[in-house]
Amino acid sequence: MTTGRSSFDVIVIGSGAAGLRAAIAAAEAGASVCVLTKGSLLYSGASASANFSYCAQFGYFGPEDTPARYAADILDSGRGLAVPALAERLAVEAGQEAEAVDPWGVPWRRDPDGRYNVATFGGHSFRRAIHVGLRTGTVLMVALGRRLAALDVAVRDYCAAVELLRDEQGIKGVLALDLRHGAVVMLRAPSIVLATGGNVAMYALHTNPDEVTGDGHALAFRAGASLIDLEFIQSYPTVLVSPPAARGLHYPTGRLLGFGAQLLNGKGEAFFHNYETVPIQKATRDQLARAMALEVAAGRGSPNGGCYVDARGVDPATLRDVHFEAYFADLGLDAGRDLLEVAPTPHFTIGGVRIDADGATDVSGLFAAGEVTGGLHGANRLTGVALPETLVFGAAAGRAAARHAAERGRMADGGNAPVPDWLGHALRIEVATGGEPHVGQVSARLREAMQAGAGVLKSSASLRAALAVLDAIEAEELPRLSSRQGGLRLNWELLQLVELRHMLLSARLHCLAALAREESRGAHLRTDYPDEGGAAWAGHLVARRGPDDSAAFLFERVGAA
Amino acid sequence: MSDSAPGRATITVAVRVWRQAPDATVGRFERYLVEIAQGDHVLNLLAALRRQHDPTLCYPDHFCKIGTCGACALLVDGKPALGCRTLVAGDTIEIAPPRGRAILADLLSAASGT
Ligand SMILES: Cc1cc2nc3c(=O)[nH]c(=O)nc-3n(C[C@H](O)[C@H](O)[C@H](O)COP(=O)(O)OP(=O)(O)OC[C@H]3O[C@@H](n4cnc5c(N)ncnc54)[C@H](O)[C@@H]3O)c2cc1C
Ligand code: FES
Repeated sequence: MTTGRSSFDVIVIGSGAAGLRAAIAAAEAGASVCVLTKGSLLYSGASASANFSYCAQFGYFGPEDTPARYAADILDSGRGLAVPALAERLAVEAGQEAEAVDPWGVPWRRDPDGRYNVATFGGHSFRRAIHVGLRTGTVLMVALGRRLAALDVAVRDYCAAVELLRDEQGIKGVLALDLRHGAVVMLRAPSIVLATGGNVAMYALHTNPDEVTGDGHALAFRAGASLIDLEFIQSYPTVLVSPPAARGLHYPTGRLLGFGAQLLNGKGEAFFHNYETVPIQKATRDQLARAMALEVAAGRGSPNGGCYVDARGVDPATLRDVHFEAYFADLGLDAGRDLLEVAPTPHFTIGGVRIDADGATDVSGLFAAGEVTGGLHGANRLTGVALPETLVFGAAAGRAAARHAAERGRMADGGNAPVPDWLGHALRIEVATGGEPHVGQVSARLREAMQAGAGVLKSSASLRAALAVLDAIEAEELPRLSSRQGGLRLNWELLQLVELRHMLLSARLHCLAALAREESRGAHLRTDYPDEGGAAWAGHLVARRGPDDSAAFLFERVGAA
Repeated sequence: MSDSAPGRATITVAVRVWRQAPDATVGRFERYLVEIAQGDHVLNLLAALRRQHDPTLCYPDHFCKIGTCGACALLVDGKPALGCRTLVAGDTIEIAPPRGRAILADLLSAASGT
């Protein structure tokens, strides 16, 4: 592991599946590579949580089972907004990537005939979900880590990107808070791959690690890149809201509904058929989430604002197949004995940094891959497409970044960087020991406001209320936040401050986009505009940076470009 | 975030937590009174401690918190435990970093693979 060096061909920001895959691809193409992660190598990001499905197409089910059909399913689910060039690459390469990671140690489950074991999910025309039991994400991360270790890649962990550096020609490097070594560092490279994941930790209740704070949105936006479809955040329909220790755990009800599990309102009544005509066993996530949210809003929810999953009639072997039984046992829960109190909860960030099929953004030298990007899923994501997205676009972005670096040539060394004003300010006023509020309290306030105003169901009034809190935090609280711990080394308060600053911008962009889209479409649900707006709204809201971090949104009709 | 969830019974827990400055080779236990929802787990208790008392507390907070990744290894009441899979039982608890790993700061230790 190298730590001293500060100039590379390619810097990858983020060590989830997308980041590691990009780093491997860039290093294999001969580039010198550094991975920067604010977490720790094999554990960080949503990738280590992904528990099951990797959807790929292998042509098992006859002449109709083609990549074109997979791409068409993605476009259908995206309600007119999924970008065809991205969907096509995903559909063609998901299977190839599954095969590429196999020798690095991903023991995909196979049937006796040697084919991959494939599970079925709503929205997919054929069975496509390959898996490694319930540990797909963790196993994949360990395998990618093993491959990375065999290459000569520098890793900086507990090191958070603060700002991208660029000039008229494009990317120059990144300014980062290196908590392990206690320094603000400037790392130089002509190519950067953003792989920082999503932003759903901006909600009080969500299913991701709390570090998923939308940093990549803020980094890309401040560097002048375009972001699209930021209003779309996917809710997982059945996330536990009680008991306290289980809050935020997603429960894979979808796979149980076909085995006799029931979805009930607070009064113990089935209700899904009042909202949708499809049988509940065939429902997609957004249909379930919408019905549940509306039922709760109508006053028929459970005590903690949810519904109930009754899986007591499902046989124990099936229950064991779909959920983390040992974890449930540790928390004193038993799905075969207890009603599970669940609510739709933010789970996946659909929109993000705009990329082409090679992962290139519209800033020269800036590439992006994985959940930080937008476009592939349009207005709604199909189950099991996020993991292949990390590998397919991670590999593509890593290769393109290496190519770009070879054309541009290495930068001069970076070294220690001037501390940006706001960070220096936070450090200097460490005398404010004991001052209130501190960063954790302000982050909690932001998360509560987003939960209340910009959650599963939104309206103009609720979004404006959330924006008012974001404004107040930005104007009054952020400038006064300080660190009471001397020095930079492992200064967790400063890490939270960096995250808060990123999260605040990402949250604002989400609220503004959601406010601008005056219709409901896919994962975007407006109570004041409950219907899909038709062709007039079939387009992307594209966000670009204006003066002082203000956002300019452009509406781009699909097919018009 | 569970200490702020509405309408839920809360309890006050007397917590002994290992504190160790980033560059220090020694540390010590500090005592805090922390309010949490009844039936919450150790990782959420540490989050509540940080919000209620000291934002500088360093612990493995950047990980899955749903029992899958294994990054939240701690010593709870003297026994090895994963913070997100261990319920707070009773109204006193002692939380220390896991044995056999270098301590980076407070409860954060050098995980394998880094
Ligand atoms: C509980 C759960 C279950 C899921 N199950 C599935 C499934 O079965 N199938 C499926 O397809 N998808 C699933 N998903 C979604 C999928 O896991 C994610 O979309 C995907 O793993 C995202 O990968 P990523 O590499 O883009 O980002 P992440 O894995 O989130 O990684 C982001 C990385 O960026 C780093 N980072 C962020 N900001 C900074 C910064 N400022 N500086 C430095 N580093 C930074 C983080 O530390 C982290 O290393 C699931 C998600 C969750 C939460
Ligand atoms: S944080 Fe991942 S196992 Fe506890």
